[in-house]
Amino acid sequence: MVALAQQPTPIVPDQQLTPGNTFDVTAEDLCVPGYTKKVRNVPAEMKREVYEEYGVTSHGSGDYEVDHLIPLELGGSNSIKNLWPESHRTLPWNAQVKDRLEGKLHELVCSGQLDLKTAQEAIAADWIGAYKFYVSANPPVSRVALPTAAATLLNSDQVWVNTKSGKYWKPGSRYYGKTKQGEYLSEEEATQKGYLPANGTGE
Amino acid sequence: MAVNLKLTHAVKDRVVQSFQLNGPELIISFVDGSTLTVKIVECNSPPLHEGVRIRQISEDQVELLFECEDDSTLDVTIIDPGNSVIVRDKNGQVEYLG
Repeated sequence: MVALAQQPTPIVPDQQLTPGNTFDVTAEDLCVPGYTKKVRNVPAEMKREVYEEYGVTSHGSGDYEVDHLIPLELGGSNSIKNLWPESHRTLPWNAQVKDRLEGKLHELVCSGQLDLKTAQEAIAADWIGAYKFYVSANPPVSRVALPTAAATLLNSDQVWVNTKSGKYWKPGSRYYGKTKQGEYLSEEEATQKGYLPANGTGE
Repeated sequence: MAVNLKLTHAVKDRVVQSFQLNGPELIISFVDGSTLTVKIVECNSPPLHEGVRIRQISEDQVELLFECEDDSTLDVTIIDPGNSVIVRDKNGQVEYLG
């Protein structure tokens, strides 16, 4: 956190450096399971270039990820024009929140409810605006960078969904806000999305 | 130059059927019906011959080097290291992007 305090913490990409860039692919291409595995990984050298162009000379583990502005699952490329250091620590907007938007847009595109180009343009122009439009008008409440007690207080009416296991935990329970992957949702929303209470009760 | 393992894995042992250079786009068609398209700035060597078999592909920033089993090579300068190469199989399915 010390390094983070001394470094820029870009939440939105610089449109000059990172306008977004896409592969020459169609929705049919990217809606095939395993599509993103066909894309080459971003080389470490390119990641270093991204940090450098954004002036991030040092950072702590987990402070940032070099993220695709237009995500791979929406046809985004590995061009440096599509990469920027996205913060994991800032609130309420951070990499985990953008991941949620990316999943939603991919779902809309692959179900035929949204044109691929529209989705690409929306997330490239203003991903926070796109989140508010396509996911929720309200900024998300995030666990990131919050001490557990504070997070529990803020989210006392919400359950913590372990998005990997598909189970949710209620406030005060052992794994509330603690699993590696997850998000806060109302219990009703979690149930509607098919998540089940951990251990049968969520407690 | 480092071997691009993912791209090499995708096209290793494929036999070149044709080689087309259309402006900034290089298209290599393989006998199995797949194609490899590269957006290039320039081609730094003679084209690959029909019938040669791909051994490996290496890269260094914007340089891409194709090496074949008969020791012939193709050296190209690509436009963008993160968005220049696409391989599709005979059915048009994406096999590699990078």
